[in-house]
Amino acid sequence: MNTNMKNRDYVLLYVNGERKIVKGENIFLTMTDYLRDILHLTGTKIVCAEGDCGACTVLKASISYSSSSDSDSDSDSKFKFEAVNSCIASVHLFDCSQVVTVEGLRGLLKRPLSEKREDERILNPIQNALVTEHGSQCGFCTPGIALTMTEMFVNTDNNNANNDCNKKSKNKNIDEKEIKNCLTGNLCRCTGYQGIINAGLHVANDKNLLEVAKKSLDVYQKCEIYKDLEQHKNIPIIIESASKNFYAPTDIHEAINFKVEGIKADEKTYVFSSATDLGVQINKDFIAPTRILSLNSISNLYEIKEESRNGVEGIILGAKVSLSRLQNFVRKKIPELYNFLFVFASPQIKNMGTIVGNVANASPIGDTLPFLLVMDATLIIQGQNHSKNHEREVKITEFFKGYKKYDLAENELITHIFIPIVELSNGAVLKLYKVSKRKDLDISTINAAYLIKFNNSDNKIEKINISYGGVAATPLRLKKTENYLLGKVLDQNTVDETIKLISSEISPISDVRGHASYRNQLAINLFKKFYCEL
Amino acid sequence: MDSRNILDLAYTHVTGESEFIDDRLKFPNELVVDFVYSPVARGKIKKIDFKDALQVDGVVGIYTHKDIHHNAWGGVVADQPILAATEVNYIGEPVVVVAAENILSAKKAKKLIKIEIETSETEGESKILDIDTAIKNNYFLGSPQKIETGDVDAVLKTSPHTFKGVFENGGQEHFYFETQSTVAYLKDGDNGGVLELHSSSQHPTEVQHVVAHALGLKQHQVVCIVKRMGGGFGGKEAQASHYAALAALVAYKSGRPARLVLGRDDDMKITGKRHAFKSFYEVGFDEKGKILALKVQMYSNGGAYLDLSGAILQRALFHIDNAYYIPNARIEGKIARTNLPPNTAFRGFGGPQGVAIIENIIEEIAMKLSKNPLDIRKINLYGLDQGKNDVTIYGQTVKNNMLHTLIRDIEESSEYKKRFKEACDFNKAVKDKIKNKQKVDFKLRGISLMPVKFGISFTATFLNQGNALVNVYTDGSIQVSTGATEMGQSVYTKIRGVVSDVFGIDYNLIRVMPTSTEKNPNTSPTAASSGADINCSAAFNAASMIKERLSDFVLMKYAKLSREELQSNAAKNKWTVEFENGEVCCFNNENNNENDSDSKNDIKKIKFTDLVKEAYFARINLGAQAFYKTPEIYFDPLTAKGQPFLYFTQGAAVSEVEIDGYTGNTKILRTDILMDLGKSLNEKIDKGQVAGAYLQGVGWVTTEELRYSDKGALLTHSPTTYKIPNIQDTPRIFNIDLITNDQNTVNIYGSKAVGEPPFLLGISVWTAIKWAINNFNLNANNLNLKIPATAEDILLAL
Repeated sequence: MNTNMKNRDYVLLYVNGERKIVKGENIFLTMTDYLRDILHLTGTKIVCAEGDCGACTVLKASISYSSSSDSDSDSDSKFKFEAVNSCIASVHLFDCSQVVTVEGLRGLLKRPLSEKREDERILNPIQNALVTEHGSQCGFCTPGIALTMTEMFVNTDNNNANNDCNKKSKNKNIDEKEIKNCLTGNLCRCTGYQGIINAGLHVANDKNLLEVAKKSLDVYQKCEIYKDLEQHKNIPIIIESASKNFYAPTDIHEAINFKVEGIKADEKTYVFSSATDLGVQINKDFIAPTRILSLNSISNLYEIKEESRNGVEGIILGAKVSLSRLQNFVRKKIPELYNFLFVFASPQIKNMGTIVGNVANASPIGDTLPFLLVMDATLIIQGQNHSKNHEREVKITEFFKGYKKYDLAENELITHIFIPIVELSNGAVLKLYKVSKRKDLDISTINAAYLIKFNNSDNKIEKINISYGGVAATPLRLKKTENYLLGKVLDQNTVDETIKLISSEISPISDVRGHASYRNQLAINLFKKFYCEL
Repeated sequence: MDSRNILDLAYTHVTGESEFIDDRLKFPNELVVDFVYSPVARGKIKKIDFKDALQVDGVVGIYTHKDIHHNAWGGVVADQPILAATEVNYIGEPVVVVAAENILSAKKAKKLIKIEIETSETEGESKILDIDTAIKNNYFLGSPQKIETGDVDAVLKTSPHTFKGVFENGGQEHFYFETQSTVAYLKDGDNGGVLELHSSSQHPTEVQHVVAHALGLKQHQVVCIVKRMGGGFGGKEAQASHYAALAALVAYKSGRPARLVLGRDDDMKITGKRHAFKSFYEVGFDEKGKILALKVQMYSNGGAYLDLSGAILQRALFHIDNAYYIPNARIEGKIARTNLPPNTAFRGFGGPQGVAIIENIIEEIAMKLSKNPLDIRKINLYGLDQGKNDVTIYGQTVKNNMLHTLIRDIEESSEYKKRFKEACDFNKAVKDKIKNKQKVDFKLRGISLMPVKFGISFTATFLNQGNALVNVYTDGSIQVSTGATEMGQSVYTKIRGVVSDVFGIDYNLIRVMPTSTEKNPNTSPTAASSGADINCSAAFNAASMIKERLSDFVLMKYAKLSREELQSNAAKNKWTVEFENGEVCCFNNENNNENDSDSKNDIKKIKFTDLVKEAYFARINLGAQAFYKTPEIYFDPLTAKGQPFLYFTQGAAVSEVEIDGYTGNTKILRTDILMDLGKSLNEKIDKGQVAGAYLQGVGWVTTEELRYSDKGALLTHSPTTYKIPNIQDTPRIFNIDLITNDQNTVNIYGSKAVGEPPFLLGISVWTAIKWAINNFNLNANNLNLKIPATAEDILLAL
């Protein structure tokens, strides 16, 4: 293999241990279509085609792009498998990754075609428990459940090594709560989930099964695969098919240049970071991108680290940092965010989706936006000025300009976010809230973030940032309310005044997730809840 | 091998090998079937123009109503066009079918098809979306229904207490994971071909009938095969046929295999749902809360066509009593015709809607009398007055009544009394804090114990029939085919268990084959919880026929009985032939008294597999087809009296909820369920059905809310906006248990049906919410909580 080649015209990945080169139009297929229609691996199902049910779950393990030192990219040549929704992810997003589907869970074990009794088949312990505990009825969600659960068992050891707190004894660390958290992204309409939970517990509570379960994916930990992918990750991909232009550069400046060329050609460039939202829009025929820029191979976008910027202590993270990595990273640094992220979408979405994507999507109800707003986060934007690349910074509080409108030019890209955490170290309290029809895996009706600091001596409010989402065309900072509260003691009377101000600053609309009056009431109630929980 | 603990179906689910419709390998010349549907709720079709669409590369055919031989179908009455011809009556009504080489061509063609539809805002011609408007316009489907007993008007006048009310429930999307799907192709045959379909359908016979009728074929020219469904829940009882017919049309017209798989959004937008109901009631009761008289006028939202709405409304009427004796009642119902997709069967089939009404009334009575709702439930229960209050409003006696046992046992095992008091105290403490302007974690709690009694049998008596085909092969292996379709409820496993029991052999020798109209004619839908009852019984009958032939053969060959002796019971009764543990043994009853266990005077012990081989060579018929019809049931529609149900499945649940007073969100702290399933055919399967049905019921009463635009378009058409329960919505503690009841002798092996009844127990979450709000907010006299009680509704009620 020529590893010195300048560009590639193909995507490289491994499916259940088999090397696949994908070229041309096929790289734009969703992974689900590629698996089902091209490889005839039909165990992966499509139910919603929007990443909301988990039936399309596959396990993805990418080689590491990040050189930074966050805790989850510990080893240099070990694949970490993560559950992702394959129905909203194009094949090119799996470049330099391994994919394991339900067919691969049988691993490299061969099931003889002869007169084997069905209860003697060789399954992994999780699959077997799903059968014996009746965790499967119609079977349509089952492949996704089996994969997500396998991931949970395989990765538990990692979690354990890195996270000392909140974990019980070593072989008991998977309990009902953990199972529920892991399976938040997998809907089932038949079982009522009891058989599924019991299957998880059955394996977790049996030392022998647990040990086997943890090794379920070991057959895919192969050095030669890692090396093969490693040799490809720094080679840009250019694919020009009949209808589409695709570019996956390894350098941010090349990315900007591609966008500029798009402007010149009067063709919109769609930026694919993890594309958890673009994927849905393509599936539902809302958009049909013809010019695609993938950020997948730009290694410095994967960094996440603590950094001091202009003398302010904080966290900096790149555009390709997934919400899962963020969640792990802030476990001790910002526990409130860590906990909040459990109700953010599903593990599958968090494993792909990024916080920068949440910003760039600019939904008025983006769940991390109130958090970023109260933290006074800064966006670092790469662009081109007079044909020269340059970087600028924008305060997130000044970024949003209207419904899905923001301060970002066509020739620019958000590369990083800087989140100051100095206030938290100085005793400020952060509280994050989200209200949705269903608690988990639901888009918020409204969400809110509060950052408050009291003066130690007189107990007056020294700092207060309040942000709401879902109450206007953009996520808001409630400046009037904040100004009113500054210097006040927070008591019932202040609360009564505050909620009047909150109502005056927001202008919610009615839609399928709730009426305007309900949103208004929620905005008030969340402040009351915040007050009581302080 | 214990036939009651078989695990089988899921082995291929967990490996991804289980093949669903769209997993079928595509034929190389297969066509994609798609269609254009009406974008408006009501209007007249003026023109259909598809000239441009036909020019699209890859388009093979475009079909309209003109291409259909008989353009009418329906679940009961054929009132619905397969492709709309002159008028459209709901958004989503199919108008033009596109057949193309690939999805992209089909999509492109769809955009070029122009359907001119004239809409009108004139009253009587404009769209009607809700029950109230339908009532105002006198716009109904089918005929009004009524069940009456006693003298309701007189007793209402003399009742110590009466009140009137209105109760509403919303619809529910099935959200089966596999959407409506069919693959259809023509198959060569010696005396004319057949059209073969693989459909995700609960009712292959109806697919066969609808397709044959639509295309002008005889029923013997159409075969429908159903291997399994990725969920059905009633949504594929009637409506699978409609979409199967569209695929069949393409296969028939083009001569090429055709595949139709609905996308999720389309499936949700255009297929029918559980019926929304609006009911007006008046109830009379005494100081203790005993119901004396009940008058209810129900209206269901039927959608545009009749579908199964008539039978669903009837079941709602039948279940207005739930578990309670109502001496004087007049229960009436009408089906509002609206310009929504025709609503259809959904687990419970009207039963939940009926039961919700009476449970709401019980909560209201308890509130008005300041009593614990459980006390009201108890004094109204069937079976209190020495059999005098055992008769339902439709004249059927409640036999084998386990309601008292169930309530007594679950009250104790769930520590209901203690927890009820704790909930009261909890709410009071929170309330006091709010009153005193103290900081408070604003939560309230509610707990509810609710029984359910659900009638088992199709209320359309003729549907209570089934047949089975059992083929024993010469190596002793067996294939069984019935009309039951498999959708995750493991009816195949139950059938397998029954046949393995009959022959006393390992279940691995038995396979239940994909359901096919070729093997089992004129079958009923797998519905009404009766799939196992009817089809296990039919399979039992067929297997028993073969078993008897084998027994006779053993008696002839080894006991040397003559042909004449075999005809006489006296001679035969001297002998016993036992099928056990894979062996058949034959012994003389009379000599057996000496009870020398070992010898037991066996004259022969032979392996089942060997016996079969011998029987074959002796020219014994090893195949059998048998029939079963449910005994004892009848119903007179004129008087609305009879015995529509073979028996009742009963159960009780205690649900405890905690409501966040700031957001209105509910979580279930704990659920206990106790079911009477007779002698369960397979406990683990049945408990799985209970858990799944319950949570589906919980979804219906809490988060599953259908919202429509004022044009009649469904807005909540994907899981982004339509929220079925997630794993986090399950009760924090969830106990499911069965009682022992060996008295249900009327059904196969003493078992009881399980599919639908536990769905209704989900209502206990709703009654717990309602009670919590009432208990917390004592002046909420006008608490008109509807189903579903969404967080928004709850917050507004507080």
